[in-house]
Amino acid sequence: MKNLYKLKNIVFNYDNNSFINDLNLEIAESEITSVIGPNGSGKTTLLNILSFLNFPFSGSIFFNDTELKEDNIKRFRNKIGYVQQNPYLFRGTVYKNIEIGLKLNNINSQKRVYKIKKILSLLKIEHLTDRPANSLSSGEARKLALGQIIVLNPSVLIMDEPFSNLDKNSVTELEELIIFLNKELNKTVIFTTHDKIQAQKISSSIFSLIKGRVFSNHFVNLYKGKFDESVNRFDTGKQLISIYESKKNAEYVFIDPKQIVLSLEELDCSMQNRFHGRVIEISEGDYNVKLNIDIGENIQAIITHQAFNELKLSINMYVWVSFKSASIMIF
Amino acid sequence: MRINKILKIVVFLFLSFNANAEKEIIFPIAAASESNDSDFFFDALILSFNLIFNFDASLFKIVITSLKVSFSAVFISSLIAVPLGIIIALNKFIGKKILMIFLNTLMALPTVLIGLIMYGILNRQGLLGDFDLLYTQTAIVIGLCILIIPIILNLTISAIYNSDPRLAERCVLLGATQIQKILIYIGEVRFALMTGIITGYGRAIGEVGIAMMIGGNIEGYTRTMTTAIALETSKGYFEFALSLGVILLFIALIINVLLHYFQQK
Repeated sequence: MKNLYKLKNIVFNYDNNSFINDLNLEIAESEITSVIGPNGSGKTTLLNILSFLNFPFSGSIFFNDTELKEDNIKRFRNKIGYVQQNPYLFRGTVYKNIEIGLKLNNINSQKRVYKIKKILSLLKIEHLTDRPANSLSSGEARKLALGQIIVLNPSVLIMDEPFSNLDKNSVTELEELIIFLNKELNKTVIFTTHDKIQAQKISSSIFSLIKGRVFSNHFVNLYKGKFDESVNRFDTGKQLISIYESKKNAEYVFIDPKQIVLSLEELDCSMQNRFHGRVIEISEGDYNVKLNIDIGENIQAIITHQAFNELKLSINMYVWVSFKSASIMIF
Repeated sequence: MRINKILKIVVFLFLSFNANAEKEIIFPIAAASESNDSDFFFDALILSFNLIFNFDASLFKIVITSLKVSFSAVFISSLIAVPLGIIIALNKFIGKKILMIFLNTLMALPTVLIGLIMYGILNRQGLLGDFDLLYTQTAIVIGLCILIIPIILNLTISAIYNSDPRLAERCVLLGATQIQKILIYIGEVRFALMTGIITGYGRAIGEVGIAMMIGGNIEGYTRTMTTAIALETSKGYFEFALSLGVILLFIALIINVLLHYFQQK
């Protein structure tokens, strides 16, 4: 599977509140990728970067194996179609709104009529053709915005929160449309949502974005809480975790499942985080075994088959879970 | 007494709209002329209406000159200032803040100063003396352009600043070129832009310093409403000046009605 986007060490600050911090991400071509995360996590900022609307302060973006610079970015812009969450609609009718992009791209009037009719019927909004754009409902306006973009036939379709504030029928229609665009027209689709189930329903890969950082194994071992100065540990609400640096404004900790050491006896070692927990789930993959352990918080550990067999682990068994303070990401 | 005079004006206006009004309106005017000094203003007002509704040739020659130079100046200024304003508003560049302060200062430029500088440039010994532009309508148009370009420019910039910020992003996403972007903005923000243009027109039509100093107030050629008002008043032909004042006021009314219309949009 070919990577369409490759983002390396991307940094972008915007108005000091939404930001992207040292972000690394790869997005596959011709697939549906979703980015999930809470409000203010930097989703829209990420989409602005992916749609080449904003250029990062540092780091590199590769699109189709070409590194993008501010001078060559324009060449790739017509490959991207970006539907914003609250898109701007032009004065005039629905027809004129769809037509404007074609006019800007110097498409002749005959072709324009054909393409617009096709898009109107694909989106099932033929009845709105002559309606002024400013009289549309929010769902209709969203469809029009999508029409404005897909009429230009971009190879990548990026959508910011396309399912928010839509009724059930509209959500199903949009899901079908996204799948159609991906399967039949081979478009790469990237969309953001804060609904994990929605993301899992139609996308082939999901990324989580928390405070401008991307996690491919979404929400695993990611804990929200605050730094407790009295004990000098991070308090998740259910467990106290020893951390390497005292970040007073830290809101999240992330523990890499591969950095977790499992043992049957408590280890006499320098690792500051040692918890006794019960194995609640085991899933054996081709290359490793994932174990979910209840240590007050649910924590996931990834170990090799060899280690799994040596420890003879099974469900409901008690194990010691250890990890170094320095292996924890705090932000 | 005053109510009596106002009634006279109302009757006069009513009669003026009648095709045979000319004979009948002589009486109130004649009567007014013989009245005492305190009625000077109202008498002049009646006489001025007489001039207007009789379509006095010399009066309308002046009005047409005024309209011609002001429309030309607004047309040329809009062609320059609107696209330039959109470019300035949408682009970031070094010295933009200084430019904005400079443009704001230009908005308050006294018209006599423009007249004075233009006189220095256009007279025979001046930089553009060879073109023989001094005391021509072209000179007035150039002067008026210098006066209103900063006004239209500033109001265009503020109209763009106040427009929906998503529009700029939309233009980029749809792949619009710089020229296409300007055209899209003109289409989308047209009512706010019209406010700027009409404000500029209001300034041009009521301007006196430039028209006097580089127009020369030549009868039948460069005499505008404002320069004629100044001249005729000093000559003692108050009713003629007042009739021009009434027309000017009427134009101001139209401008404000239009401004109100576009600001509501």
